[in-house]
This record gives sequence, C-alpha cells and structure tokens, in this order.
Amino acid sequence: MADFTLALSRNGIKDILVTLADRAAGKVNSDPVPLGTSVSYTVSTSWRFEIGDLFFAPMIELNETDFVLDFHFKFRIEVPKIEVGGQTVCFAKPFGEVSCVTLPVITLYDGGVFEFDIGIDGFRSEIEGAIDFQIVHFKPEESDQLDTTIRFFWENRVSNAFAETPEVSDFFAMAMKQGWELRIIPGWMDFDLIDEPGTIAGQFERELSNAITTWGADLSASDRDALLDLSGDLTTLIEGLLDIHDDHDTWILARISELGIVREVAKILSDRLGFFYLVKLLHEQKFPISEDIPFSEDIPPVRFEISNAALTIEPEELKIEVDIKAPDL
Amino acid sequence: MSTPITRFSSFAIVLHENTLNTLIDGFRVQAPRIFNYATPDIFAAIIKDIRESTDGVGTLACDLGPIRANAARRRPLPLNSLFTPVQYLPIPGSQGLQGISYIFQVGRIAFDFHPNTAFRIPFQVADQFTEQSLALRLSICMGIACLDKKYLDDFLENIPPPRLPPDKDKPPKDKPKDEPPKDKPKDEPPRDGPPLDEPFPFTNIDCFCLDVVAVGRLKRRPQSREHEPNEEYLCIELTGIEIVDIEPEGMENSLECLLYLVLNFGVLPRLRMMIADLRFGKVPLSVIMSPVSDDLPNNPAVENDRLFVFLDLN
Repeated sequence: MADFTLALSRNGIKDILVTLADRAAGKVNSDPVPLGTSVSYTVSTSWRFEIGDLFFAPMIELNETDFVLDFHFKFRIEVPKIEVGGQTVCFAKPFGEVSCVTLPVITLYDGGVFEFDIGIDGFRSEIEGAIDFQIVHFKPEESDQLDTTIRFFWENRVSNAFAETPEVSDFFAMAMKQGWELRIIPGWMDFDLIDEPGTIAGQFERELSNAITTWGADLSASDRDALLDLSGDLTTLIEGLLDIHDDHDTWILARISELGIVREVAKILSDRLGFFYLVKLLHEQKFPISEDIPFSEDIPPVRFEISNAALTIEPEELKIEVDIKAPDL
Repeated sequence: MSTPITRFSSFAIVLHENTLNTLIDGFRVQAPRIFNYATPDIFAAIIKDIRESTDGVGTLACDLGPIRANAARRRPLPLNSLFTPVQYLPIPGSQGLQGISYIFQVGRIAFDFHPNTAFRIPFQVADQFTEQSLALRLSICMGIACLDKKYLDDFLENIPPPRLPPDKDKPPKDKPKDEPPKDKPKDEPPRDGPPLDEPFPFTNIDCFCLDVVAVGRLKRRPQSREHEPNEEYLCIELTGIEIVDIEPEGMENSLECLLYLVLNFGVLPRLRMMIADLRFGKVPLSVIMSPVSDDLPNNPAVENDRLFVFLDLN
C-alpha cells in the first residue's frame, strides 16, 4: 500500500450517482396551449434518473440506468350550449292562408367547462455504459495531446464568454501544468428507448377516453360519443404537436433537448474526452506557511511533490494511491 | 486480490506514518519559523552569530539543525525568517520591565502508528503502546540567556529602593482627586544604570535538549449517557509520556506527571470534536465518519503503521 490511499467502494460510488441523479431530477410546466377556440391544455414534464447496477473491474460499468419522463396533461374543454328548435315553420293553409309556427327551443346541453388530467408516467429510456480511468503523469513539454484539447480552446473556437468563466479558464490553466491527471477512458455507451412513441400515443388516447368517460359521466351518451370523437382528433393533434414519428431515436433526441446532450456527450467521450482530465493534482503541491505570511520571493511556500500516483479498479473498490516526497531543496 | 479497505464503509482515507512524518519534516525544513522561537535579542544575536561565522551556521542557537539545513539549500531562506520572535518571559516577582530572554526549538517530530516501526519507544511507556495506539517523538531544545554577571550590579542598583515607612503619628493625608500620579517618589534619587526597558545583556545561552515520547490513542466517546451514534466526539488521549534521560529520577517522574496531567486535562480536551462536525466536502456530496459497529470497531483506526478513516456519504 502506498503513502496515501483514497478508497471508494462500489456501493459508495453508486450512492454518489444516486445523489447526483436526485439532484438532476426536475420538472417544467408549460403555459396553456390553445387547441382551437374551445380546447386548451397545459403540460408539466418531470424527469428523473433511476440508477441501475454498477459493476467494477476491469472497467466501471453502469447497467440498466433509466431516464424516466413523466408527462402530466391538464385539459380544459369549453363545450358551448347546445340547443335545437326555435325556428319558425310556415305552412300554407287551405284557401291560401299561410300559417307560421315557432318551434320550441330544446336545450340539449347547457354548456360548461370540462377539466381533466391525463398522466403518462414512466416514459423510459435506458442508458448503459462503461468507462475506464487512467492516471497519467502529464508534462506539457513532453505531450502532444494538447493539440486536441487546449489548442481547441486557445484557437477561439469557443466563445470568449465561455472561455472567461473562472471554471473554464482554471481548467485549461491547470491543464498546461505538470501534474497527475485522472482521465476518463470511454468504453462503450448504449442508449435504448424502451417505450415506443406509438405506445405512448395509444396510452394517451386511452387515458383521454377514460377521462372523458369518467369526467363526462353526467353527459348524455350522444354527447360523450361526440367528445370521444373529439379525443381521436386531439390524439392526432397531440401526435402532431409532439411530432411523433416512427423513428423513435430521432424523435426522442430531437424533441427532448436534454437527451440530445447525451449524444453530444457520447461523441465528446469518444472523440476528445480521452485527453481531458477529470481531476488533476499538480506535481508540486504548495502550502502557505500561514495566512499571515503570503508567498514571496524570500519566503516561498512549503512544497511537496507527488512522486507517484496509481489507480486500481477491483470488483468492490476503486483505489487511488499517491506517494508524496519532500522536494530536493 | 486484496481485501477491500472499504468493506464496511463507502470510502476510506489511509495515511501511512511515513507520509505524515514526511509532511511534518517538510514543514520543519521549509518553514523553520513554525518550529523555532526566540526573543528578539536572542534572534538578533543568532543572526549576527551566523553572519560572522565561517560556516554560515554559527554556534549560538540551541539546535543548529534548522540553520544548517537552511545553509545547505541551493537558495537559503533569509535569516530573519528562521525564527518567530516571541515576548520575553516575565521574571516572577519582578516589577521591572525586563524579562527573561529565551529560545525554544522543536526538532524532529515523528509519529508511529501501531505496530512500532518508526522509532524506538522507551521501555517505560512501551507497555502502553498497544493495538490502536499511536506514539509521538518530539525533540525540543530550549535555553535561557542569563544576565552576564559583570552587569549584575548595574542592574541591581537600578531597581528602585524601598520607600520610607510612613509616619505613623501623622494621619494619612487625603490625596487630591485630580492630582496626577507621580512617576517617582520624591525620596528616590536619580539613577544612571542601564534602562529598565531593555533586555539583559548576555554572552551565552544555556541550552538543553530533551527527547519526549508520548503514547496515546484516538478515541470516540459518547457525548451523553444515552449512547447515540450521532452524538459522539473524537478525542486524543495520552496514556503515557516519557522524558528521556533526565535526572534525578524523581524530578523526571514529577515532570512527566505534570505533563501527563496538563495534556490530558488541560490541552487535549480542547481538541475534542463532535463526530457530526467532522464533515468533508460540500453538500450533497459531503462525507462523514462511518459509525462504529461490530464490523468496524475502530474509526479512525490505527493499524499496520497507518491511520484509517472510514467515511460514508452524509
């Protein structure tokens, strides 16, 4: 065992992932969206991650992690008053007389507002992947790996506003220095859509029909039928609104911007992230003698060197081992 | 494949005694002012001594180690950064402004986590060095710069004489309220001796060095009688102390007892910390020390020359 060891258990890392997943969960509510003159809806969308199994050795593998979307639609349908009759009917009597009769007005439906909710829960997509970690002693003067990362940064291919954020500038400033880098080596990644959009559309229609039947229980059978006919139109409308196509992956990635990031991240992982560090410890660590005595030419900080660093992944544990030595003064 | 360190916790930090000693030694060599203290007169005399010496080390300091180490550096630290200046020690009973000039230096510091490998533990405290124990060896040097005897009369004459006894037949005269205090009594003659607010002149420092070995343990104790796992505190307890090779034996034992009591009941209790306050990292990813259990009876644990701290996500 080395001078200094940091050990992370498989369960501990899973706890971290679960905590991060909880933090990543969220919910957004839309403003009312009109569908014609008498129908409108609002939709709230919530999302969460359900962390699956985590395996160690030889790589860190995360299986059966679900990204779950829940949609909650709230519909408002204003049904106008439905009346029949009231017309004046004229007919000719014998001897040339004309007689007119005004038909009585019969109210078929008094009109009103229906509000009902439809929840489509558990719209799942599964994310799986494996990554490896590597510890590299990085010396800028010996490395050509700066080409793909730091040059990317310095050649103004990213916006100045992005480059000037402290986190980004610190990251790249650190990247230029000699140190021990913990890097991610992407293994594989898979993204599967478990629930098909067609199924979702069908579920939506079923839920809508059930809602009309339940909430419209006081309506006459003919009125309910009329609304159920309308639900078919609404489903088509919702499908169109959500642009659900047969190409599931395209649909989900295009419609839900958060998931579009997944593709981007996967691309970065495979193309570039191999050259990035996740955590970096400078080869030389500096400590001020005290808060009252700032660094100066005369009184330099106390320095230590990390002479070696290694990472091992075992079935139940990830270990980072570091050797420390005092510098040659 | 080795047994996982984290088999009973989520995370673990393991520190080898050599690493701790390397870090302490690094600070001792690179930041000598943290370990070396002297009154301004001695500090100035040591700098003068170093500058006038041929080897750049001199002879005046009690422990020449840090000065020698600095001289050996490719780029030595400035001499005025070798010591931290401290106030003069008061002379008990003295009303004067002078104090005792002294130097105090901490030399080698080394920790030994059970079992004993880092340094030799004296037999007097060896039986205290049981499982889960840790030992500390400390070399300290100190000395007092005494008043050069040839100046003794000058300083003695400069002490204000006792005042004349008050006349018992005269009633005490009421002192006007607004009368400013008098600097000197009327009957005190003017004096020409050395000023009272300057340190005593000295020609040498009487130094001595001691090696102290302390044996102790890290312990979790419940805050209340109802032993709640979240209401424990962490403390350091001294189980034995040995001042190496001083005589007479009775004085050695008495000094050891004094240190034992002062450390256990005066100093170390101030270092106690509630386990719940020992958090590392930021919420939501902060970690706290794992609770002890049958599987994890010691946390922190001192084993195999290492200090283990087992942690869980908070």
